[in-house]
Amino acid sequence: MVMSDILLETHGLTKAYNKRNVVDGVDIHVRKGSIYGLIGRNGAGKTTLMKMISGMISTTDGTFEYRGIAGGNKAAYSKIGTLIEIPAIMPKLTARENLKLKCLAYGQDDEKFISDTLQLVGLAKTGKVKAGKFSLGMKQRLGIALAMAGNPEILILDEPINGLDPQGIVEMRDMLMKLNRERGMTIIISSHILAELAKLATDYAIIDNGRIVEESTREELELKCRSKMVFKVGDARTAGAVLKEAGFEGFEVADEETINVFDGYEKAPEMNMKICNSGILVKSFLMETIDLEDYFLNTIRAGSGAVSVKEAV
Amino acid sequence: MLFNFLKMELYRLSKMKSTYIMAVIMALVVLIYSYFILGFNLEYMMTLLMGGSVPADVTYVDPTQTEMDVFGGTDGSGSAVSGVGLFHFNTVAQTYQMNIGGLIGLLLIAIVAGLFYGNDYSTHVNKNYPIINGCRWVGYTAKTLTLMIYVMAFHVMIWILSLLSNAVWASNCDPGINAGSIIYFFLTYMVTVTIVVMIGFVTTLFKSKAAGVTFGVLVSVGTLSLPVRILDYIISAKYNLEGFSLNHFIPSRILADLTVSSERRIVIIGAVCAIIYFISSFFGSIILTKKRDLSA
Repeated sequence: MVMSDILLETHGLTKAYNKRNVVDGVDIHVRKGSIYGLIGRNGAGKTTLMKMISGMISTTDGTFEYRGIAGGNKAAYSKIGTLIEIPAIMPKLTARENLKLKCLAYGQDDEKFISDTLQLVGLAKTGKVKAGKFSLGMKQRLGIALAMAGNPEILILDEPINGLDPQGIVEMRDMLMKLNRERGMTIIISSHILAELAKLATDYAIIDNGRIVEESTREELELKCRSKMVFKVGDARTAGAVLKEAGFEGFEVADEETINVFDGYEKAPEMNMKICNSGILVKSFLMETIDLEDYFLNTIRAGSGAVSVKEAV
Repeated sequence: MLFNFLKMELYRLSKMKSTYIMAVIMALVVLIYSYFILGFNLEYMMTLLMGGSVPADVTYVDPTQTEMDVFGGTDGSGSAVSGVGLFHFNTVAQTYQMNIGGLIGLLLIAIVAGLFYGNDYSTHVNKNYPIINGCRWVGYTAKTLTLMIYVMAFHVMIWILSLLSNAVWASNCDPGINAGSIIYFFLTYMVTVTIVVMIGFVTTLFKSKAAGVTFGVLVSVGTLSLPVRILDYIISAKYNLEGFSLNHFIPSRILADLTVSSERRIVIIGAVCAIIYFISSFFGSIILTKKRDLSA
């Protein structure tokens, strides 16, 4: 991660309730223009972390910086738009009136901006329908429109696709992609639907028990999650040397008995034969594929040693 | 930023139905009440009911006319005239004072204030404005300023309707503007605003719209008057304090008991109490909103 690209970073953010750290010394680094996916179980501390960054709750310890500006003041908070937990709307006002309220508060009383934003979130034709009568999907979209008012540079969205039907999820994804690509909006997003998050996020942080377990970019994660052929052998180092000598490439010796092959799976039988011919026992070889969900679960379970993967072949 | 939030809160108030409903109810109450005190021949009716004879000077505007009843009638030239109410000779300031002293206006304002302050806790819209998380006093101050403007508009409306009522039903249209009535206008405004801010404090303290409205209604309907009288009785029996009354220290009772000709001591006590209650409630609310985490 290039540090000059960093838009928002936290330093040891901590929140304690009843002497228990719900968020415990969290450091995250959000790049400008990224979609930063926060992954974690219920109660892992995702929402609390988002609330601290947006100033909704106080911090017990730690700080955050917004593009070099220390957090906790108007300059930093004015750059942040939030949709945390349920969308907060005035049920007896229309979508336009709801948006106008926030625009007035942010000194952005611009009818064109309101129309454009409603158009962007697909609520331009709701007319005089009161927001209280909207479906959950419409309320979520209005919540995002509200978060966008005031021209924030960063959107903090907590479970924005919760409760949406498949069509709504696709619409929400398209809208967030559009915001990110066309308006360069940086987005911090949390979701339980990891497959959906995998389609959106460019950076990830896995949070568990209030701590960041891992922070990586999509590229780094793809590298970790890519499919591989796994050989379990009696002596991995010697087997590795044999394969190298035979001219095979795209593999790594992971530990004393594991060789991971990332490229040229079709040559696996030949590799197997080479290893066997050199007198090294091949205990098994199998194909491993791992998606974000598996990776997340493995990372969380790593402490207990229980690792699972989907297997093929 | 305060100005932007003030604009936002004014817009929100303008979108609340209760803002207008309460104003319309108040307008009707002022007109009906003013009619009864200015132009309704109450004494005529009471005397008739008791079977007595009605003295002409309290019954008719024009004693030579006989075609008149409790609602008025026509004079010698055939023009419509109103009856003579108990306060037919009020100035506008006195009519205004009687309308304010009835506390109906306070009750209606209290409901609007409770609903307005409590909106954050019923809709949680305050979490949409991270910009003020570093200076939460702005949000609360904007709300209070908005309600101060509303209360002023409410009082001005009552004064204008009192003027109209006097023009139609009273013997004169004298505004009665003097030092006493001007002080009365601003002091009653100040006390009403103080009660509004106290409602804001209760709403903030309990994080509940219902708590604010309930407190406002209880204060406005005179719930405190009986306990205050009992305490007054006990205090005067025990300490023999001449001229002392707890009423002078309780905002809603100040509003009910104050008149355009109240003695200076009472006015000063009322003003000082209003300021103290205002400051404590306002800053109490600010401290609460600043210290607390926002609930979602």
